[in-house]
Amino acid sequence: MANGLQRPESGVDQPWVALIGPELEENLALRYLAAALRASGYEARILPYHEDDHFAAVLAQVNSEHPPFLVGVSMAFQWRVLDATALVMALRDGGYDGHITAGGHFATFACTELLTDFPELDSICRHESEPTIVALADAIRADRPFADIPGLAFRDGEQVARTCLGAVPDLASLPFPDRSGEPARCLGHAISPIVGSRGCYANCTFCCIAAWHEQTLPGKRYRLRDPDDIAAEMVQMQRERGIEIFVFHDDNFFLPARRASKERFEALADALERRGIGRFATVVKARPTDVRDDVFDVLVNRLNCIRCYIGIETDADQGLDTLRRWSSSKKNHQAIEVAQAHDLYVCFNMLIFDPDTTLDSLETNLDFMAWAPEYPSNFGRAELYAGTPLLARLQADGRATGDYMRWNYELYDADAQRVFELAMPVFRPRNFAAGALANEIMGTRFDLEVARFFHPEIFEATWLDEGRRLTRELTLGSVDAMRRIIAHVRDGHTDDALLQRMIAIDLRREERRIWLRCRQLAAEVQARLGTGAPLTRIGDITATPLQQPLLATGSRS
Amino acid sequence: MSESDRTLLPEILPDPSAASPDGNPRERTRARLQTLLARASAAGAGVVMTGCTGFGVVDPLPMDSGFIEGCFEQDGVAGLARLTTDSNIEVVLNPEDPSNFDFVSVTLVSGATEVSRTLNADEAVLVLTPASADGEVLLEIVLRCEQDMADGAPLQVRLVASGLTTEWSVVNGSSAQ
Repeated sequence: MANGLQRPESGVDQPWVALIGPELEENLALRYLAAALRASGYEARILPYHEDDHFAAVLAQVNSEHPPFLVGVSMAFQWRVLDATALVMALRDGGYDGHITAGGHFATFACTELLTDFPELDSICRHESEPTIVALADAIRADRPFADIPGLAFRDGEQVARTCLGAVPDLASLPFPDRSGEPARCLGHAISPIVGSRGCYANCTFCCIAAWHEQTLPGKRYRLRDPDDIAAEMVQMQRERGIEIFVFHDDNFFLPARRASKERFEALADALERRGIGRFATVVKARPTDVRDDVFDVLVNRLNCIRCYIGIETDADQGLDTLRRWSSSKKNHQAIEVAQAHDLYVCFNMLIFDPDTTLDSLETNLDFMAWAPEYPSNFGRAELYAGTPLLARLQADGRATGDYMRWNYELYDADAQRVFELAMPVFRPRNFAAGALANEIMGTRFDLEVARFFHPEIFEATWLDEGRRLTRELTLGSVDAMRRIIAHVRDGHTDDALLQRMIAIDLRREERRIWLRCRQLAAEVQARLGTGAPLTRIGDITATPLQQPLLATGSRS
Repeated sequence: MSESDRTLLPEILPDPSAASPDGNPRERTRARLQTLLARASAAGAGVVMTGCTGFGVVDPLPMDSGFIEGCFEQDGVAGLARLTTDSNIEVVLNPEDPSNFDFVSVTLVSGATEVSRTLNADEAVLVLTPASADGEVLLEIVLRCEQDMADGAPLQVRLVASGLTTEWSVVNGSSAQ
């Protein structure tokens, strides 16, 4: 296997490709593309772009004296697409005349609309694009037509042409992703993301990942790397970069069959042992149906899992049906109980609002959150993402409003819609805004798990008690506020503004109190360990090294 | 889940209340571009921008304008101010490190009348009625360090509560601005 860790020599005038997108952690989508380009002899540079502050620096690097011959813009995330299209527009306004392509889930599904509305874009690389972007770079350098490039959408006169999709990349032959720069750290322990598979066996109606893989691998929707290949990458990262915490960004770390998951995890653990890996921990994601006792025995005891995100999403029969979760309330509860039995830290999200939500289903979901309050959770609405069955359904029903860049809808049940409208403004600071405590507290809890795993001789059980207490307080505060809103609607009250204001005051005060205690807890852990900064405090200064030059030249003071 | 960046914090939910914007995609893109250009220009003049996300939020959106509260952290004090339903201002102050610092006093210097106050070692809550429409209030805060039992220098902060927003500035802290 080629080694993407080695960056080729870059001459001053060497033609280069700019890959632009979020770099909150090591962005593996861009880093796999960068590795593929480098393996084919091209210099590829990743330009981080996920904050307004990055905008000017990215423009300056592209519209420089030595511009890239190809710019690739990440459009994976529908909710951030305006940032991407604005950048593309600014590049053209600034005089860039090279080829601009885009890729990712959103760009793939909306390629026709994007190429129609934005003449600044030349093409879209559809689906997994390691071969496509290399072929595109070759064609641009050789001034060849694009019609033979698999998986490309491009403007052909007034029309948008789409070439056929090629075979999905063979995961065993892809170069390891580019790992330029120093890794992020939590309490001094180096963290790096990794993927052991692509896709998910499930087929939830709201999920664009399922929709994406259904197009390229119908029915199965996932592919696996060989455990020994994963182990090789992990050990290499540990030896060359000191990585101790491996965050598996697999869409789903598990297989549909329990025995297959267990065997795969054992094979990975065996391979890691054979290769002599040192101390390490893992972080994974699971569906509730994946959380089985014997599988988690291996996950926790041999793969050293310290945190598992469980996609609960909904505990109401109605929601389970609408979202096609292939799960049940019983399995949701069992998942939490199995995690609890393994003393494993888990967190989850709830999509308590979906098109068919009723007040009863809302209350069921709140009951679930209140049943497991010590595990961090957040809640929101099932959104309409490009390419998904849920969007298609609401479009067919005439209930999807807005446009391809941002779909909206009203819930079918008027009372549930009213609860949604009352709740979202007051919960925005807690659930969605920058620094939202429902997200931040997951970082604090992660700090505690890192301390517990790597420093058991120092770790105080009271720290975990406090973390759980703070989480419980936040969760139950949210549940209580939501129940007040539901009661307000059920009882037919009309003084909505007063209710919102009173609840907002209570929530903000509660958040402030909990946030301060989280910081104090993290500070105590940091002081006792003396090994480095916790996630709770490091926030935006955990920029990966690729961000550092931008921050240095940008506006951050 | 499907839409969030891959962050260590596992899945960041999008803000659903930001849906249904005005204008077509191209118009919205142009508007967003103008905002980014304006911010880039302001940043060049040394303005610290908001919206830092780090490991947290992928797509930061402004807080809801109806419920904005101002916050500050200065010289070991964290403050929060909110407008209440009866047009008063509720001020909540905490020492950033309550294990080492206690409140000695919180004095209303000018700009409001006090409706109520609760002063504990680790939290001060004041409800104030602003004296003028511009809602400018001056407060003076004194903390005591538990270690040496010495009172710190008074920290004077200005709070401006205007419309639906509140904003703090430091008058005489160690890095007054």
